[in-house]
Amino acid sequence: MINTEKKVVVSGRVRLARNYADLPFATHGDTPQAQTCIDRAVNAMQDAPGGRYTLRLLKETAPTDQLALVEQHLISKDLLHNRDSGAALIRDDEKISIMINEEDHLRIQALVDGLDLEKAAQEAFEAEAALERIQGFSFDPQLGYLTSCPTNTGTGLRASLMLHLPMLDRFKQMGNVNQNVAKLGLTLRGIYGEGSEALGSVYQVSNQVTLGRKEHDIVEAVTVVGRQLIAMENRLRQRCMQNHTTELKDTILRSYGTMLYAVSMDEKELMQHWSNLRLGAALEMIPHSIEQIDKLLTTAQDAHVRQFMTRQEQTLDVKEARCLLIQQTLAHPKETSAPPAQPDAE
Amino acid sequence: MLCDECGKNPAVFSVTIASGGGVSNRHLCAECMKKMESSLTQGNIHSFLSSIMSMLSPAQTENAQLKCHYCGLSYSDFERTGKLGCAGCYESFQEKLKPMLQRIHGSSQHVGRTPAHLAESQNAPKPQETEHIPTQQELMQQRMEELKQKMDEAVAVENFEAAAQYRDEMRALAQEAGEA
Repeated sequence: MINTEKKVVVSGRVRLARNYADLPFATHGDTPQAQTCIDRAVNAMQDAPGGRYTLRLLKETAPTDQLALVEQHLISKDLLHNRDSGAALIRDDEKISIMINEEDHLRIQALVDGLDLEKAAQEAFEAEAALERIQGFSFDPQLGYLTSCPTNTGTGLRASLMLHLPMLDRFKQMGNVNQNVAKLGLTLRGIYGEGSEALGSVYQVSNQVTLGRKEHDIVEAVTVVGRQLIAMENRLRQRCMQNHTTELKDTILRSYGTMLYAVSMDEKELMQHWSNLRLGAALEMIPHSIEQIDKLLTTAQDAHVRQFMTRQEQTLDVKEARCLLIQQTLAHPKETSAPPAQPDAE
Repeated sequence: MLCDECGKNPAVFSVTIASGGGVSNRHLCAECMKKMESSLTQGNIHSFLSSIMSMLSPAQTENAQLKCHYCGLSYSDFERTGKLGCAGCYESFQEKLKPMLQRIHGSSQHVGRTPAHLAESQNAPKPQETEHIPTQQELMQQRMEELKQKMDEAVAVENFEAAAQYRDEMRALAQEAGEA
């Protein structure tokens, strides 16, 4: 049996927005100030506990590789607006990334596989402690941490859960959910955050409010709502399994067939079939683990497919190469390639 | 995301406008949405846009003159980009930012973590400081806020029975406050 939370949660994330107290907020362009921010962060994280960090300077990173970092959620799309001075310090296990010279001097981000946002917050605070040893952050006793945009002022903390909610989508429940979530100072967004579409029924639930609430309370509120959405989604899945088994099986296995045998596929179609496959893996209807399917969420996106083409010296176009990559990933059912699913915790 | 019309408040509505030239999408805050609705019922989209523009013009001049004492950013630049120039902007624009923060976050008082270097100095003993004893009114206010949050949470998880209980408690508390 697969853990009920894992059936729905794709990943969890906590990010902190911080600015050095002695510098104006981040500006665009390759300025001495931007370089100072990079140097300070690099110095601070040199002997940081928890693992080795590698610096990625956008100006020295090929456009495809930059986009691949966005697809991995290691940097934001907004950082790409600052190609001259934007940078990221990424821990080797890719669970912590520190964006430098985005909207704020620093955006510390910690990722977890499941619902454990408390752990992500702890990791982010540890990285923050290492960073502030070099130079303190801009802070006001009344307003908290001061950020470039007032929507982040206070804790500067954004906790988010990426959830796969195909049934809530299918039964048109997301409008209702959105309204209720907003009442709690939280918000629902698409797969790549603000302004992005909920492709493949992947939603991000995160806090909107950052001022007047303690960090722990914010993290807890997002977790509570996350749990509630997981329960609602799983209830609908069960009901669908009981009442519409044939239809559900047909949808999932048709997508599985397409993923195994298609010759050309764009990103939009990928997300539609990916969503069905993820549901299929959660309901144990296809011989693949959730991890294997989740991997495709990153590796079958455009920039990753282009990287794959370069590695394989493929002369196919992106849509064709995508199918090749998907089929290579799905060639190994879970018994041989993926670790066994975690036992149900409940 | 900030409102496309006023650039001040967070956008909570998405409005799709279909005209001869095509389809455009606007993100609006509650205030601007309300204005749009009332002008739409009275006239057309043009009257809405012109009413918004005329309302913004005098304020825009004033905002262009209002500048940060530290980095020189004008308030109208902030309205346009949604980004402040430096920590000093919070002080320079505090009259405008405070109500904005209140609208965005429902609060203008930080209660979370403190940077390590300040936390240490705060832990040091402060002999002159006297402990603030909350008044009856403050306690009531605090309880009211707690109940409101609990009610919202109960509604969000569709526990209407509990929500009704919190609502009744709030009513009783409000009545008590009125009698006091």
